[in-house]
Amino acid sequence: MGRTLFSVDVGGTFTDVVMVRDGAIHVTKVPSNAAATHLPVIEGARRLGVQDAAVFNHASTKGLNAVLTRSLPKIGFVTTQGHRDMLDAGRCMRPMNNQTDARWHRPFGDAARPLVRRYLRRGIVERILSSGEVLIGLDEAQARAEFEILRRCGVTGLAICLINSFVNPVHEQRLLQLAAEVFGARFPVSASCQVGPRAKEYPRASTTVIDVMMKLIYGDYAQVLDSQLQAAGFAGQLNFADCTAALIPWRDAVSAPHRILFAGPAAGAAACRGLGEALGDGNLIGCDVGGTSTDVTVLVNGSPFVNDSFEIEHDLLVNTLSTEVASVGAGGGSIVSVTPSGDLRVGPHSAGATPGPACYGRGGTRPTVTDACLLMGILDPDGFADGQIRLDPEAAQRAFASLDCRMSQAERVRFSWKIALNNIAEEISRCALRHGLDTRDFSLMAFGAAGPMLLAGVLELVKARRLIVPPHPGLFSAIGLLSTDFVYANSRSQYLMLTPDTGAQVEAIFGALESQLRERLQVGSDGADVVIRRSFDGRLAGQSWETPFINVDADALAARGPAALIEEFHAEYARRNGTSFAQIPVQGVTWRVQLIVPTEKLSWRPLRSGSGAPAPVGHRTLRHLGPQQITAPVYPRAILGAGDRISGPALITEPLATTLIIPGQVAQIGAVGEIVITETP
Amino acid sequence: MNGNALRDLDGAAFAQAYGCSRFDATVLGNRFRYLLDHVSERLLACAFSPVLKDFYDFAATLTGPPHIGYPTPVVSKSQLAFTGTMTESIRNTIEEYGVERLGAGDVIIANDPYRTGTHVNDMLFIRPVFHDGRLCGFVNLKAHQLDMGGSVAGGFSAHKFSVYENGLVLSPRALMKGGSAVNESWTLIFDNARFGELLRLDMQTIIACLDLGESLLLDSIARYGEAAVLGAMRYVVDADAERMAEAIATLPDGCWQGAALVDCDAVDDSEEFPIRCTIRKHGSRIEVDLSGTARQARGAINGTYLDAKTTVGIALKYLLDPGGPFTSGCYRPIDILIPDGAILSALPPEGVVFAYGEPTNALLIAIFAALAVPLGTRAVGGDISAPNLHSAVGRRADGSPWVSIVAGGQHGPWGATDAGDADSYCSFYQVNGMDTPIEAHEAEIPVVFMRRDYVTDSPGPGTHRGGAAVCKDTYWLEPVDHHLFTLRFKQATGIGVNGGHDGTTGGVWLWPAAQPARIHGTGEGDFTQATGVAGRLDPASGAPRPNAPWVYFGRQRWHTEPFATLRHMTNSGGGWGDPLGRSPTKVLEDVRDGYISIDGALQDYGVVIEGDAECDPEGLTLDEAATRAARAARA
Amino acid sequence: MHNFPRPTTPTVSAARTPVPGNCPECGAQALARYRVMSEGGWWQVTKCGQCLHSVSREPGPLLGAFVPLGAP
Repeated sequence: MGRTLFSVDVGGTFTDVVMVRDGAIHVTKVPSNAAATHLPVIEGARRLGVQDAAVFNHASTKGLNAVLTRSLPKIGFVTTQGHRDMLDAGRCMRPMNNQTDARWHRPFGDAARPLVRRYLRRGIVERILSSGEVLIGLDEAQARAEFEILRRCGVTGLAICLINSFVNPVHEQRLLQLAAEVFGARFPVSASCQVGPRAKEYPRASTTVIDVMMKLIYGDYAQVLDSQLQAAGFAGQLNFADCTAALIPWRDAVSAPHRILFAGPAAGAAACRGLGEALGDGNLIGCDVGGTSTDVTVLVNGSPFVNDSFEIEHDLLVNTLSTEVASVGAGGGSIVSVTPSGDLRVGPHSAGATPGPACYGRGGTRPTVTDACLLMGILDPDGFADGQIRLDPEAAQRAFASLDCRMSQAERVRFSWKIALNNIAEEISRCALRHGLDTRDFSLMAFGAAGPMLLAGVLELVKARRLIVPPHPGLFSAIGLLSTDFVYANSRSQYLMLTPDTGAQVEAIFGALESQLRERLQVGSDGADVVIRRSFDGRLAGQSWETPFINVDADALAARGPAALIEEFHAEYARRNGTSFAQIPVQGVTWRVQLIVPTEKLSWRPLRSGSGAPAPVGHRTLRHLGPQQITAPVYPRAILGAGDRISGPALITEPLATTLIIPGQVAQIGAVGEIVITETP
Repeated sequence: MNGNALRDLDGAAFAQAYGCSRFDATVLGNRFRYLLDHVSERLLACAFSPVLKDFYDFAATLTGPPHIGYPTPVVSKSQLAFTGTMTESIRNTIEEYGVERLGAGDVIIANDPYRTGTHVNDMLFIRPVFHDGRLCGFVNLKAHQLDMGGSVAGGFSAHKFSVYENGLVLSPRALMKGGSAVNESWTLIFDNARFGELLRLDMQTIIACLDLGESLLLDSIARYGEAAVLGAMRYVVDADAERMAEAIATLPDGCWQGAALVDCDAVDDSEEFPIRCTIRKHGSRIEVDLSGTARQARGAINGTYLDAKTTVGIALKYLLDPGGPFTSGCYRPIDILIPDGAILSALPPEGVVFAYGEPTNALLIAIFAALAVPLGTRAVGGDISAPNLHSAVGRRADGSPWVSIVAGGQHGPWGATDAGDADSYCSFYQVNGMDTPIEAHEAEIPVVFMRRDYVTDSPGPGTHRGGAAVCKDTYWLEPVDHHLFTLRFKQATGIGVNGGHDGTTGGVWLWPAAQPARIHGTGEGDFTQATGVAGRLDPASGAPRPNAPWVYFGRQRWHTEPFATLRHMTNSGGGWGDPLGRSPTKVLEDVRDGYISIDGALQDYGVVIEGDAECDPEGLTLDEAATRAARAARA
Repeated sequence: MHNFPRPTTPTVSAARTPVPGNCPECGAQALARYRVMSEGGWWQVTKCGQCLHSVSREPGPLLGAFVPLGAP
């Protein structure tokens, strides 16, 4: 048996805590506390007993929520004179859904809610060319004067991002020294050349701003969490997960904290990958159906798509590796409304956690998908959220009755349900099509509180191979934090057209990145368990965007030079997009090295065998699924064993989720306890 | 129309009218939207062209079959300027080609602006969809091609004086027949257009996208039946028509006029080109009459009747129904009178159509101005309203040419609304695209962006202020020929509304070669060493000033030696509401943030602020007594 | 391409031909016949200038004033 492993996923409503001890999974949910995020974490740790844990892997939305609510520290931003408005302009584009809406504002713009007010964005006299040559020398006296102004304004941190500093960081480095002189050596400062010397000034600047803000937000939090965990008897390693769910020891994490902004959805993808490995199924579409939205991730051969940046709000970018997650406003709390023409619409607005669906009885009066599920008989009024919330069917009835349209109550409920399923199905199709993939080659993985009750209906619409409901679907993302490795990363941009004679340059770039990383981590080149992964972001000549993470095989590079990179680029381009332009030259833009330290992961234990045909513990009436109401047997998940088969209609219940199997479908319990639902041919 | 006519249909009446249940119509309406999302996603993922990826310079639509009148129940969320043209252009193309000649697996193309709107680079691809041998609709893509031949690579030039210079004109013809390539159509394009290899790959991608759209439409027909699908098309269009009619009905009845100006054309400054509209509204009907608009211009800055139609639709969407869908039905309550041979309804061979954005931007502002009165608080201020095109051309040391097209004034402010102050860095109202990062551009072109920031005291004053003018200074490291056309500096385009004030007008300047490099200021006294290239410029200081003499950009060719500086300053956005209604605290914040100067605060807002905004931004103080006095004196 | 000369006047206007009679909807003596662009393309309409009621709407030429030389 392995060591005891702990993970925690701090969400907006609940803090999910998972422990694996002696191979068995233990879980608990603690209500989150926005004012003191660490308290529910400690509470969960105490409940399950953290004293013998070897690791404590942590993901939270704390940083993300601080940005979304603009509960942010006051910082200064300095850049090359003439360019301070880059933080207002972003990349210029507005959302496609707001194209004819003059009332739409860039959410981080000066006319809305800027992260840094314009007067705290200051220009420094200096200029470096794209070649790295200094066009205008740094005016130190002027820079000092600007720092003094910021100091008088009481900023608590400083972000520095100069134009072309990714080519030549000399002015940023000097500004770091001057800042230490003016603000003091311990003052939180982030400079873009350290945060990530990547081309394109706006995303690099916004990343730098977020980085210093996260230093202020996470620095103390991590310290407090670590000491309180120790007080609770924890003697292992506290790690934070990044936006790909890769793990970072907490001290490293808080030195470049833009990476740990938002790890939850990536952890969901990691959980899919981990379970997929156990099941021998790598082509998965993960559907995390929560209260407000459905997050969709696509995994091909066990790997999710990874992007080179993360978008916090529209166009508010952070340069960090992030698992690609598409979100559609369809979840349990999605509100049902009526359009002016008298048609039903589901979402994108959500009743959220407060007031929540009408049936929660917390003041919500508008009908939601959860209300529909209750009226359909899928949900048990007394068995929701482990009995923590009692559902009120009368309130749900009233909410649907209040809709102003000419439809019967039954139609309202049935259509709401079907429209919600259609919305989710279309988003799943879109995610697949975006990468030129066909949903028929994939298994759907249903998790999140509402996933197991909705996805069976989606299976039929998207024609996926099968639907898998994992064990503990309500805490699946936290489980994903026990399925990843430590990853240390280093990257920089340098525009380089790949030609046969650029091999030495490419080698030099990778060599420098790698030795910096080894130096920082004090890892020798003989570290047996360490995996070094090189990759680059490249583009076709003439394109303005990059295709990230073209894998670089060091041996192939040594043997065949840049031709190996070019070939791999075209192959990856085809994999991502379904097309290839092999005759067009390839330019390298950003170069990356990752140092991966494998760590102990959750291994799924086989479930005891079942009888094959389990006996239901009761029956429930399902309405509105079809023209007639039907009776469905109910099976507690805990009594099911591997190999058990259940034909739809049926319900499988567990404390935090209900799985619906609709008529015409068959569920089979798999080797590790997963429920596998397929359409009967 | 009687209020919520569609809403009041019960199940039986609905089924009678549309051949399907209301639920099926709702689901199919969603499916139509997703169908185009899927087609667009596929195009974005697979096409090579940055024009498509960064500027979304394409649109996809779904069109119903001829026997139900070619309804367009859904357009993709991409290039707005294409949307209004597409219903007519599908019908025009199919009718001219011949409905009876269509077969499954065909792709019909056309790009003639007089038949299909916008410009020759925007090729229309139409896939007729057959079910059981019956034509049941069309899946369409209009996408900007990198080149379509003609005298100028890429096509963007005002200096094309007849259609014979403009580029290859394709009347309706088959590109694919029954799934097979029609070789003479492909070769016609490749023999006339540049970058044929890339065009071919992009066109193949487009055809694959049409295949996808067709299969998705056939899926829907298989699942819901042809009658339901066609019924849902009609329903969605009817619902949008009703929605627009209801939006129009919210205006008081009346007649209003608006105007805007295209300053000149690329030939000389002898003629200006006013765009005028008269809008009559009664009940839920509206009529937009473009009589009094200038005749077509010399050179390729004209648009067609389909562009005029699109712009009227976009303007009314902005003003009356911003969140709504954009189907062919939204035009049902709208009649547009368009005189022939106007700058917005040019005709061949001299009425060359390419930079149609110049007159359509002006038309949008004319409509915003006309409806500002009846809209009152719902009015929307004017924007930058111009592409301010500039291309810089030079040669590298090895003789190879380079072209830069992002050093002009492409991006700038919007106007204010009841929702608040306006953003300052946007595409003009009718388009939406990605900006090129400075660092990415400098890595390719011998240019240094010395400044790209906002101009103090430029935002149109108002209770909510307009967006600020953008000042973009570029320092060129090598000899450069500058090709620019700036056609919107004579009058403020950032019109103020609801008592708000107009924004400022911009300009273009050149500073002679100078080393070492330095960053030029933007104050009144900072222009004396510069040559005024365009704009209303004070003869003594060279700075932009309202009512100062207007300077014509086309009076000479603009060539600069290494180390010269070019400045593009855009127009600014219009204000909303009386500036005296802006809270003094907000004005103080604007002064602190450098959007307004201390002098500007007093002059434009009657707010008295003391201190040093630059060096002690948090030490600024508001003199409340003096502010009350200053505001009382103006009230 | 047919040859459409550039108009000789600096501005151009859409022609409206007055039509005798009263509007059946509002009674005003303000009927006129003219060409408009609307849903479905060009229309030749007879409308009331007061209440904008359409007395008649007939489809107009597909391409408006433009008639391609080779068109069928």
